[in-house]
Amino acid sequence: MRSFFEQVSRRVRVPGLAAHLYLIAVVKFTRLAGMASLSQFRSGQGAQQNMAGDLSNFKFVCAWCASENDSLTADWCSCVSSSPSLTCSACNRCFCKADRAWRENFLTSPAAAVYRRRSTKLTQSFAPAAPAVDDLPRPIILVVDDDKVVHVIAKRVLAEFGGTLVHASDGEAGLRLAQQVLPDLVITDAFLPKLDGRELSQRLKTSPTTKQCKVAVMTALYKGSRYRSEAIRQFHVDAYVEKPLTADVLRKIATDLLPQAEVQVAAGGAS
Amino acid sequence: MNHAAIDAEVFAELQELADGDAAFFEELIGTFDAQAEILLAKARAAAKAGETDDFLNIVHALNGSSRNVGAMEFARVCTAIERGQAPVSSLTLMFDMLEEPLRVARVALREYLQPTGKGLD
Repeated sequence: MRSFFEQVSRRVRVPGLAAHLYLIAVVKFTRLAGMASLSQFRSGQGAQQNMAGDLSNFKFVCAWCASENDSLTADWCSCVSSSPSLTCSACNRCFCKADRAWRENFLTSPAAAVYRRRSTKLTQSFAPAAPAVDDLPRPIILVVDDDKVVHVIAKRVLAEFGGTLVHASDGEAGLRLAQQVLPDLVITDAFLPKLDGRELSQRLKTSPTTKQCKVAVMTALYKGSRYRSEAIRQFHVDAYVEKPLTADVLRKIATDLLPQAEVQVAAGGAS
Repeated sequence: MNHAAIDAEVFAELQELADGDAAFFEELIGTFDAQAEILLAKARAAAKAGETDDFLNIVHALNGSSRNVGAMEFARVCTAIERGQAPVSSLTLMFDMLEEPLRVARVALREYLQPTGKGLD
């Protein structure tokens, strides 16, 4: 039986070395294109380790059950986060809450390089298929900020209001997500990559499908009454707050701007 | 938290928000720590390449993030750089100003995370 390399060489009708280079390019492309393509590549042809590199480098051990998983093919977790982690196929738990030692070990392992590439691709251009809007419990709050610390704090505070919390790390992703899930409230940083938060507000407010969204803009840069007036007049923001962001400020934004009928303050929420 | 690099008031608010949840602090400080490392590396590269706009954008990001966890000493250095008030003119020297205060802040925050979670009182 011919090796996979020989099969490709014959199929593409090029001499050996060119076929070798072609395969390397294919593997690199499929890795970038996503795991579905690579799964087809691997399952259909059988992985050739000398072509795709040492596949054991893609493995990682689950933080909870110690099962071995493949960082190339493991599913994303369903935690609402701008940085989801991977799910163990054995115990179905993700490593979002793995302890520090495990995370440090993982992040310095070869498997983490694959995870980071997938994560970057996911954040930049691949949006997981949004659940049907009707299925998402309201209120839906969208937080847009390139600072992950803000998302951690927002997740904590806004959990008190029930509903669904979604995250984006740049203005364009925030706009796409808002158009998909039609949030009740958008809380966005002003100074964002790709699309300024104030510009995001203007686009949402001038679109028939999203004009009902309330928008709060947070800023550490555009401070003062002049910028505030401009934000309200020109960019149609509903609230304009200056950073640093505190839990009380976030709560006030949500309390003031969410439709009161939708607000469900959880019993025993953080004070 | 009793460390000169970390603002006690900001940290107290985070403790109140955490309400005894050690996992929240792990996530918060771990997120800041990991993000700061990445941003610092990007700042180093931007400074070396002479990319002033990129460098200042990264410093702005570091500034905002550090304020959210109370790393005010470091945030003040960032603000000085952003406002053109740094006592140095080259990007590489401005980058050098960032390293030590950020290191101190990160160490202070990491020390707060005790394995047993006892640091939460």
